[in-house]
Amino acid sequence: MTALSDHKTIGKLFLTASVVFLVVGAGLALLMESKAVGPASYSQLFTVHGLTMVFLFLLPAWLGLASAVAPLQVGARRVAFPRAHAFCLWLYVAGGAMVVAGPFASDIASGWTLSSPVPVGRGFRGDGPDLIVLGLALVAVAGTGTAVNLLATLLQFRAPELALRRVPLFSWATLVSSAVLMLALPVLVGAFVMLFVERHFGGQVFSGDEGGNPLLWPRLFWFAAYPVLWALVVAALGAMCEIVPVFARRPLASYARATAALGALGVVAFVGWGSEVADGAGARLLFVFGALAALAPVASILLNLLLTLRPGRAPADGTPAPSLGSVPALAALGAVTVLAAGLLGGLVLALDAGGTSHTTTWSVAAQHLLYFGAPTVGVLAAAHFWAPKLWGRHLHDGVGKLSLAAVVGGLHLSFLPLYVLGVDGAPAHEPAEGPAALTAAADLGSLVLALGVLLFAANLLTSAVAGWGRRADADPWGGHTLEWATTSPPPPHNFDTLPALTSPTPLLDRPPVPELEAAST
Amino acid sequence: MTTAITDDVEVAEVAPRPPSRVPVGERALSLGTMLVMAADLVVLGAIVAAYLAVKQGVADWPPDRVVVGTYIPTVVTVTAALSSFSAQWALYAARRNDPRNVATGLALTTFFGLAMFLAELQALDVDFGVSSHPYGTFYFLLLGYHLAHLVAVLPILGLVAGRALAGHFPPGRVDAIRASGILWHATTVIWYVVVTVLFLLSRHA
Repeated sequence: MTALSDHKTIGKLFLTASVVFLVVGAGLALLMESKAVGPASYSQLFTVHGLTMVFLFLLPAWLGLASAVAPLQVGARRVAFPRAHAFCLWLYVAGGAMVVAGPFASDIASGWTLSSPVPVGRGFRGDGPDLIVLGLALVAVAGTGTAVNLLATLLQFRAPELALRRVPLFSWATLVSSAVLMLALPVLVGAFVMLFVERHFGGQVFSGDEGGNPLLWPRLFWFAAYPVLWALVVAALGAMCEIVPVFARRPLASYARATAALGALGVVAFVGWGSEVADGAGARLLFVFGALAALAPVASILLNLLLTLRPGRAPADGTPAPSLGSVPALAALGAVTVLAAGLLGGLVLALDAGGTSHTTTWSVAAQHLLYFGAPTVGVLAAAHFWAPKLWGRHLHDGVGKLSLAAVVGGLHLSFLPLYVLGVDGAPAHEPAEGPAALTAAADLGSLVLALGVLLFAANLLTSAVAGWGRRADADPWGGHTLEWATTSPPPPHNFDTLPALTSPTPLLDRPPVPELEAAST
Repeated sequence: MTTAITDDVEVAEVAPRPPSRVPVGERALSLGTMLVMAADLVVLGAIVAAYLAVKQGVADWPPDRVVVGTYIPTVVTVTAALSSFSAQWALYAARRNDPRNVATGLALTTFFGLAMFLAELQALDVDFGVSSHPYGTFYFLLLGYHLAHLVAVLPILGLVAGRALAGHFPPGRVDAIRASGILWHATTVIWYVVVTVLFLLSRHA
């Protein structure tokens, strides 16, 4: 228990466990792509694959990275509630195991939203649905608890002179996404409680002879799920705002605009999208504006990152600076391309509220690129960037580049053809039909993507977790933020001494070396 | 100011500061409690939203045969209001560094909470069940939700009261008392929501 009071250990365990579940999710995807399973098994695999990728991989991966890195960035010695932090980790692991075990107990094929159909009634007897419902509820409680812990840490344990307007952007993104998760995940908990009562005590909420409302489940689910998905995008954007400037060797083009955009995205996360459950012209109009309001900050941050990509000054200590060809930088730029592709698709969806694009593969492509693709590539970027700090080991460069190419290439190859198929009216959530070349490209993309994430998982587990990777210095990238001012890996108390904190990038504020400055110009 | 030597260039590093500047999070517990209770109220919000959505689709709400009465809800509501005063009394006493009054206020709050718990158990004795109709489902869900909070919070209040009496909270270190006050106030807020939804907004109450 002593070791598990350290936020870095807990964060690393969150990340490691999420990568293990990623392997499960990717394995299920490969099984689905193999076409070796019948339609019933395919639906089951699809259900568990979707749930695994969102709730057991993306959500805990970002919570783990935030748990490990954000306290370091703000000069905290620990998180606010270390024991609760460890408790949330075990809740998540137990919940994840229950979700994965669900289909082995009995059939459940309701899709990752558990809404087609809602698992109540005679068709859903057995322990499988219960395991999934209880498992997801545990994961949601763990996510809420971790978000609360991170919020309390960032608000109460920051270094005294580090005002909120000066916190590093990943910490700011953590603050925003934690607030969103804290307000969104409990809705899922409430929904799961009602579902459980309905399944076991004969409650009449989502169905029933005397007036349960079957439309209620998708509304509750999406009310929570959209903000959760946006929270993951916020976290990914925050990480990209940290990584790109380091490798561009200059501060972010506009820190103020980035904080404003991330904050705005956190607020509009609750109104952006949701056209699937909007009835009537008024509600659709609201969602048009909500969606546009959510896309605007994303576009603003992408522009901010592109403006940052200009030649910078030489590092102050004279060590050779890492280039934009390094894996974390390439991954961050890969995430930019995925986000840009998702943004364009999302823009069409926003302007076409209630239109056909929402029922075709166009919406599948846009949502996957925006909500799943960008945060996934973001995890790759963040893991490559911070693994040297957290484990004291670099991930393998060659394998990293290969996995990155497979993941980014696989995402584009999978979903860009779906845009074209969507224009031709191919319906969403059905086996893609259309020109053979396009469907073959999409299938190949899924395969490449699954292989890419498996490569990444193997790289992280062997290079960092098993400790086979190249040993890392305290500051291998010439980082700008506080976590790079301590050893790799940091001691349990994080810092022996804190440097002066006059900006979000205290290490960049070191005075430049005149000789090197002259040489670089 | 410390320096480091790299090759032939002497580089100035950032000035180290003494560890005393490390933040200690004096109000972390009360802030954490506030955030947890905010999340908790969102769970309640989801259930209430479901209640309103289901109620909207049912013409006869609650069903004619359902009589829930007003006596017990009124007693619990008045007790909840009284308990808020006693909890606040404890908080004010904590600020004045008066452990005896802290313990008295919290003990009184625990007593009121226990009275609410027993009264709510009586309210569960009705002639319908969870599966009888949607109103029955929400009746037991919402009452159960508040009862679960009482079960969780009352031991905490008792524990904090005992520790206050034993002098475990020195002057200026009253965050645990503040947190227990927040916990209790949120629990009473949940009751006010439950009583409004189940009894005030229902036709036969």
